[in-house]
Amino acid sequence: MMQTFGALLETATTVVPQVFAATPDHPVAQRTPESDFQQRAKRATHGHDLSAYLATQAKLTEAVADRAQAQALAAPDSEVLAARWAQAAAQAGRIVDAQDAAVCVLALIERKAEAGEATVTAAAHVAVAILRSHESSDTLNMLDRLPQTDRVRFLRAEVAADLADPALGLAALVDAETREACSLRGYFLLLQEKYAEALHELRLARGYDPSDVNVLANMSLAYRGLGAHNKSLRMLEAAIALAPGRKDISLRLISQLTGANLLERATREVRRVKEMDVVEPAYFLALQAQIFLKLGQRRQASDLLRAAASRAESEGEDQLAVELDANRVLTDYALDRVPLKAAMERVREGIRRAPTSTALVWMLSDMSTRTTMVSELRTSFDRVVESGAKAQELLPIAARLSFLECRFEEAAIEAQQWSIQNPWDDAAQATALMLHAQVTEDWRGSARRAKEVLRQLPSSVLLANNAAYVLALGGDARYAATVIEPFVEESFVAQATLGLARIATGNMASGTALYRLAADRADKEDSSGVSRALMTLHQSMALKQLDIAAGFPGAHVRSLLLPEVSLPANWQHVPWIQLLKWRAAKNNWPWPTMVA
Amino acid sequence: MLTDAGWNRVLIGKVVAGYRIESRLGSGGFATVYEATDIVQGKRIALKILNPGGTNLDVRSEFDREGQLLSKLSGASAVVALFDSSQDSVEFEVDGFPLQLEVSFHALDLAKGCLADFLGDLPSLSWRKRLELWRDCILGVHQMHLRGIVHRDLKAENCLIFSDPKRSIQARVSDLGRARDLTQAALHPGQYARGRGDNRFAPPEFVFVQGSETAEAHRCADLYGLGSLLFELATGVGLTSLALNLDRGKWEASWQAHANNQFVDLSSLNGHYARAFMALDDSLPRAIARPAGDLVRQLCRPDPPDRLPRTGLGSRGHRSQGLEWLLARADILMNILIVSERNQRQH
Repeated sequence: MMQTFGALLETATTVVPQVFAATPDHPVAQRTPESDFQQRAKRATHGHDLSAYLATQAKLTEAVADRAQAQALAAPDSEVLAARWAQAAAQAGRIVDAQDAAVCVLALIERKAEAGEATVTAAAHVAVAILRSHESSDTLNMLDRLPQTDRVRFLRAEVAADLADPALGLAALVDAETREACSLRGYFLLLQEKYAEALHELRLARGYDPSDVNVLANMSLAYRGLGAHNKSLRMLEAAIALAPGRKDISLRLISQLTGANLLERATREVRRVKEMDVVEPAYFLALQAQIFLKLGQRRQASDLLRAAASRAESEGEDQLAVELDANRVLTDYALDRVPLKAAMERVREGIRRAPTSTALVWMLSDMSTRTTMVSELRTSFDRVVESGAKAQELLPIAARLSFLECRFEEAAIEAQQWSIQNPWDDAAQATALMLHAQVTEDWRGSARRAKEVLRQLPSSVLLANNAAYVLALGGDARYAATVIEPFVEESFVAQATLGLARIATGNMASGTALYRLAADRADKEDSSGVSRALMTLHQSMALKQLDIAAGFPGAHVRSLLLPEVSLPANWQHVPWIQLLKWRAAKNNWPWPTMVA
Repeated sequence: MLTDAGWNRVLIGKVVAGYRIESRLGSGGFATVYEATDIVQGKRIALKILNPGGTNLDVRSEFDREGQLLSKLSGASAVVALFDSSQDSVEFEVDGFPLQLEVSFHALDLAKGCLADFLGDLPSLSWRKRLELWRDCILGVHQMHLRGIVHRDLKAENCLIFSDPKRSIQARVSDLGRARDLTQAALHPGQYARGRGDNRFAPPEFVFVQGSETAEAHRCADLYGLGSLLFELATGVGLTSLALNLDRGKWEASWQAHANNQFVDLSSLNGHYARAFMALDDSLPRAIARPAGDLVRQLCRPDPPDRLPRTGLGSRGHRSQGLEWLLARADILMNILIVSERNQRQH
């Protein structure tokens, strides 16, 4: 019997959870169905026509800028005319002029404020908006010199958002109670991972304007941070209902649905987005590949990953391109198109090119099945930690590392944390279930937990296998059999687990027959002998634990069971065998533990 | 090729089709406006003359179309009046050699200035006056819509100021270079896209090149223009420019994206606009801050259909072809202001 630690391929394409900026700078590019007219207009503006148009428009904007400059210079005390000049200069591409005019606006407002004269604050908004695009730190200094009204403090907070400085932003927004202030404060608190406080602020912002899509998207992140995944999904769906064209939110929804194995809903959303005739960015293609991987359709996934990697390259997203390429090679390995060594080498090459990529280190960890790989994984892991990756995203790698280092109790705790942080992640739940049961040997408690998880999550082969294993040894073997039965064709591991469940129900003949069939399949798929050895050890230890063999004549039982095998030469490098040895020592069982 | 200064030297003092050109008033991208006198009637008028470089087909057709549309709007009290639109030739000498040059012109009512002239010293223009002038512009656009014409380039610079015997000054809508006659088919594909005007004030569907060619879409663009005009009268600055922080790189990129089939979800711009409207809230007088702020927010919603008035629960649309509803809203704002001022005086 052998467990898969975590999903090997499904977990790649890890993308750092994004925070929706309350101040998104770039509207989402997308394609919408074009009217005949738009198509004609586009043809008419292609090629020479487009350059001619742009040249004409540029000439117009320059004339406008000249006029605005002349007006501003004729009235040097008017902050409004200076702001209009700044806008016109920016439109004409005269960025230096625009910045000079913006600085002039703030200086005029400062001077007038000192003299106690009224000023038009919209001019300050214009100046700060122009300066923010280019030199935020100077903007902050200039704002410091203005009277600190609510508006000026809000502008400071916006500059703080540009500088990704939540502490500065929150300080600027103290006591501000407008919709925008609450929304921005929620955003800063999200950056600080203070999800409950962020949620409070975002709720206030939503109270002012229930249709603010960014607030809803940020609320979804806050709920997610608090582990309320259903609410998080509902917020995303509400945001999409309000802005069906917001592709960034749709992608977030697809990603969360896929992570939760809600593949039908994810596929429906993919279809909806595709119906908008959207230009498919690399990340969208990657999400579709992830769905195919979860559905076990690896060929389609491989094709999509190839397309996604190439799209990422053309988008200038070099790290994503490397991650997707490595992901594609791993998929090809699973399809027997690429040998393991070549796949590993590609992941290593990826890490050399993008050493701080969590996704690549995750892939390396998923492929690390021998204790000899610990030092390489540890080096990569430490580098990612140093680069400032979030601890939450590193939990699965940390758990794998502890497991490879044979620190099983720590591995179980880390897997537990991973599963708490990701209640909808089947790999996290499956790993936590198995490690917790093996380490604590609280099989009944683990079986109860397995039932809860199976109620909450749609089943996958990995989850079904680990849950059935725990259930079989935890006193609910019949349920275990129903859980694992649908997956028997998919994997010899599942077949062996069904065998275990049957044995646990007392059906020795059927159970052992399944074990033998599974072992034959294992021999074909794994020539190293590790799978068969693990299967034999698991079978023996389960029989000891269930105390079933005692009820049968010894020779009869032995004739039915998998024959004893000697451990493979490299068994000390196989952490799963080490775990069983550790358990055997705990229970004072002989090692290697065999039925005889 | 004549420079601006050379062109002025050629024209000033000359007589073009019976109008003696006196002085230069100002210039746009492709035309220059001169003060002139009608020799026969002795009346002072504005003569808008196409610049000599304006032989480009687009510019030429834009200029001609403006003449046709102004002529169709004859009698509209809140649109600048056109007296004459034609061509003539002027003679001048270069190095002693006599030359003749064809000029195209519109003879227009002579204005005292434009709304933008007030922006340098906004506090000097009372809010009551601002609302009156804004209402004049709504009336002008209303008159255009009733005759099947849309303006599509509304901003303070394009609203001229005239003397008015009853209320000292009156605003009239002018500069119809980007206007469209909805009763006629587009002159050529891409005309919609080309004629989008000054991006500082243009609706976002123009900036991102994704409006449609329906009459309603054009009228919605004018609603944005009118909202943006009130924003300009309140703050002095361009709404679109502030909301989208537009620079040349961005508007050029939007065209390139359009050519590459990429479009923007306009509803994603709501957040950008929400922040720009904060500047408006600071600038409105307290008495009308809420209703005026709400009105501008409605008129300038990034998604064009959202700009229309409510026609029932959850639905928006035009009740008629004109803008009676918006004129009524402007009247309400003025009444609120008048009552508030009266109350203030009494207290």
